[in-house]
Amino acid sequence: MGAPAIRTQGLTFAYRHGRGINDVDLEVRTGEVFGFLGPNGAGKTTTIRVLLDFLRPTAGSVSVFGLDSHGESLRIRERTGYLSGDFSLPPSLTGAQVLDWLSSLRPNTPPVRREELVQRFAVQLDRPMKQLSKGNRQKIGLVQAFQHSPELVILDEPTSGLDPLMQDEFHRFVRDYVAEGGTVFLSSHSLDEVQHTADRVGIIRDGHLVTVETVDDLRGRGVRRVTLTVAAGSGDAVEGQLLALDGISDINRRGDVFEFAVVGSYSSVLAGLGQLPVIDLLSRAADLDEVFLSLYRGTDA
Amino acid sequence: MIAQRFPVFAQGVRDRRKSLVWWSVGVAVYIGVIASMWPSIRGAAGLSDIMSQLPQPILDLMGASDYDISTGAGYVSGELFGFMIPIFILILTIGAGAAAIGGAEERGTLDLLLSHPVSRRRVLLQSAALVAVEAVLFGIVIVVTLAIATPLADLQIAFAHSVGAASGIVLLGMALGWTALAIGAATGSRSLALASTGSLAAITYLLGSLSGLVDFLHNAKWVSPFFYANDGAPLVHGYTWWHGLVLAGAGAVALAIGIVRFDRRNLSN
Repeated sequence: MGAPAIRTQGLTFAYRHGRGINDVDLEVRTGEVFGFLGPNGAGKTTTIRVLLDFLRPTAGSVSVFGLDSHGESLRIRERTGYLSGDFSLPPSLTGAQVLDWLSSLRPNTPPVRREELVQRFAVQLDRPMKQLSKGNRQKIGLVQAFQHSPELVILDEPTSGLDPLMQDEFHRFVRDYVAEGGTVFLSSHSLDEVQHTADRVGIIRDGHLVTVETVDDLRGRGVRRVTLTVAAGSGDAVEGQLLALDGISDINRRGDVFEFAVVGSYSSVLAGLGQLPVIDLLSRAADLDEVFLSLYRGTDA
Repeated sequence: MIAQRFPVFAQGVRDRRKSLVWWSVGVAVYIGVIASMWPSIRGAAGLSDIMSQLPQPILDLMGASDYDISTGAGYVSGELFGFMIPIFILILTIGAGAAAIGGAEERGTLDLLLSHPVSRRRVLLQSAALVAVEAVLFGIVIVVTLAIATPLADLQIAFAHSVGAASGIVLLGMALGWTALAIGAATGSRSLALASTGSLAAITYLLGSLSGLVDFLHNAKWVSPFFYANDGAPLVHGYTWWHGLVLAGAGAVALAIGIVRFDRRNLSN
């Protein structure tokens, strides 16, 4: 007990042609869903490939269950399920054959959850891979990652190709899985997905880990979107006053309708708005992607 | 049992089962056709005269220096073992070797495999076993076909010599198949493995056949795997067994280098 599911310290991987990841310190606790969020090319997949010993770090250390990612990789992989972003399966094998074959690579752990997964995701087991749609192949990928009920499951963009219904089912499944004691590391570029499933979120950008926060904290960063309608013809005057106001950013204007983000104290912003010829005011919690964008802008330097 | 202890090997066999059956049929038919022509060729004594009038260097270049038309064994040896049979087995084993790891990496199936508790070394060794089994199967097809054809076409090939000649071919296929496997594992590229092993075979074949022609290439035959597979017409005179050790050793060295390089490198995705 005690060792985190995943811990990286100063993890750096440099590709020959640049990019990669730089000095990433990450800790994933057992029993949580950790969302690993970032745009394509930010370094999510690179990080995952180091965890699985496909890539050897240029610098820094990685441990999974307290085991060294290289020297003890086999013991790590005994206890870890994985679904890669763009995996391929042997085209002539049926779903059942694929799952049997992959099971034979884990002789010590029976596929105890296969039946349940096949039911929940309505997986087609009797058709060869080449006849299945992207979404149906993706389901096979999900089943193989979870069927042995591993302690840790690492998923790279797991819902790509799934229809919205199945995505929902998947999100519920992941929540159930951690409720039963599993740990899930889920990389995604979709904030929506992470918002629905993750306990904590790490945001990676250009190979740097920008922040790690709980989903609640991230959403509660005070960011709210406000749509403000002012008296006809007063738009120009209002624009100047808004620009002078502290605590708002990202102002968009369409005539007499403004849209902006409140990033500071809400009450002081409201006090400032009180001076304006307000006709209507609509306020809502920002989506994670708006938070995300504001974070990204914040780190531009 | 095999499927459980050697899952990578077992899957490889399943993958290639169909094509192996067709290969076996094709090779057996080819050997059968060549063998069935012997009774009529033997009668055409003129051919033997023409061959005997060709200067030795020309025969060497044709890969036909051992092409002794006066016996059935000599005919089959020259017609099959000098060129076509080696080409067939190399297409089979180099293809299998290059596909096993380099090909899996290019197709994107290697990731999935190696995310399971299977070491890279195990994957490579089981792939090597697959290549070896394909080569041996090829050898068995040769021996069986010749055993059937010998009495039918009155070839007078000694069974022991047929086993010896087939062994040379099997070891040739294994050595170069393992080389392709090792290059694929070291680079992650099937096409590179195919191209470099194929060129290696072509160049050494050429050097081997030129070595009897060109004085300064006299020693070049020693680098040719074809020399160790087929020198001295094993089908007629029996296989020189230490030649087999050279081929097996070369294959093992290639594998060892492949394991080290594969173990140490970063996988591409």
